[in-house]
Amino acid sequence: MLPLFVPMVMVVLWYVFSVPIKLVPDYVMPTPIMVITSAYQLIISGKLLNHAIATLIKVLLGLILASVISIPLGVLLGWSGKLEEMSKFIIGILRPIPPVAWIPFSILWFGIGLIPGTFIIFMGCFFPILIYTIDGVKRTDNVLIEAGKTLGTSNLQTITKIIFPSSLPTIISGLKVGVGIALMCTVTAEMVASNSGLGYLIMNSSQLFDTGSVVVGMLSIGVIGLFFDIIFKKIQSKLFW
Amino acid sequence: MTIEIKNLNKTFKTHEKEVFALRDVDLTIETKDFVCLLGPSGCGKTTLLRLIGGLEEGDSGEILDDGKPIVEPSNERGFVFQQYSLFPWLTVLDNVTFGLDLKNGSKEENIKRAKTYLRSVGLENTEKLYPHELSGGMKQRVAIIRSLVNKPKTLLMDEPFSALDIQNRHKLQEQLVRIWQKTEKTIIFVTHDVDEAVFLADHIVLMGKNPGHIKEVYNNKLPRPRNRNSKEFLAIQNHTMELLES
Repeated sequence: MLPLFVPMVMVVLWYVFSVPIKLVPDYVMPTPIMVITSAYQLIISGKLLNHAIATLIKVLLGLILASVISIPLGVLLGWSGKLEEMSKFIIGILRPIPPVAWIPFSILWFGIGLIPGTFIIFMGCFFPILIYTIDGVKRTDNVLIEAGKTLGTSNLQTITKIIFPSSLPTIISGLKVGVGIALMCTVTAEMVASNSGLGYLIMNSSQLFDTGSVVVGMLSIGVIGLFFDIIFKKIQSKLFW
Repeated sequence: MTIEIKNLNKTFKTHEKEVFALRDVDLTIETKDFVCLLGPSGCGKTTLLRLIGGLEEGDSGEILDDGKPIVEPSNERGFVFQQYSLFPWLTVLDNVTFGLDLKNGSKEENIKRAKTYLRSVGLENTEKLYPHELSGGMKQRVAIIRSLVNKPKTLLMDEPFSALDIQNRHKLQEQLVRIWQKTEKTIIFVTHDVDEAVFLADHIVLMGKNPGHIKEVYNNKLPRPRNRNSKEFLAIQNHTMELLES
């Protein structure tokens, strides 16, 4: 119950200031009742679910695509000092570019819809996952690698059976950071280059002065973020020794 | 059937200086010997063990295992490290079957064999535990079993008991002697503890430092089981200490 105390107080204060006191007009700040009404309509019509699924699909696709490339690449770069040295400059220069800066090209290349959003998310989670993976690989205790070799691991087995599992907790931390960035990227991308998703819902509702639905969209993103966080905590509690 | 070390040299580079870790080392270790490399820190005893294990490369000279030069680690030579080296993401049982599973044997056979080995040192109740749930002494016993289960010809041990309290250390030393007598492995054991060397070894390789070298090899003929409090034990201990300090 304790974590719910602060939100409950906030809702009460919100209600008091927006309904009896009417501090600001309701198209500037919707009342809790407007939000509940919007939420009810969006849920009943199935729109909220559709938008949430559209966003989730992009997040998962982008995240999976980024992981499939950046985790093996990170293992390779962390393993070979030479390769890491070679890629330092290019990573250094590409990494600080905010993923949303890729929006113009993503529209030019992929148009409007699922793919440009996925591309933005891919660009957003690629580097955090890569950097975390490299770090995890480098922090693998050397004695574990040597122990493996004296038990007969080949070079490939050293990577798959020792370095990879040993860096898994760090890789999961990278994925966690990736999901956070992915959610931010999706919503931004959906605001400009999409016709579905929670970002589109927020943008579209705001143009119709339906501020209640804007809040519903915002809270849904929060709930999805929380949901991912809980999943990762579960995985990590099983993984961290 | 021996490990032969011929005219071995090994240097380490620190900043601009080259330091001799080992200089002109010659040593022959017969099969089924229990050998201790004994000396103060900095005498190169761990380096020598790592060279035998194939974990380091010498600068000149050679190390032969049954006539074949040692160039890389192999499961023919099990290695037990000073630091805890169990894989933290695997249970005790999975740690022990790790080396067996690499060779694509039947999983059931591997588990059966691992269980037999664990039982032989009284660790049958720890199979499902993870390394962080074990005491220091248990971790090192599992590490020894993890090597032995691969049936290596030689077991290389780098101060494996140095982090343990004295009761546990003595218990594990006795257990190791029993394992050695039963399995007839060649054991090369690094230690800085004279008592440990006299208790365990038949041949004590006394080493000195600056540069790391072998002073002499003392043949410890004390009959087993050895009693630490016996007059003979203490006499040999004193004699070894004198040789080491001379």
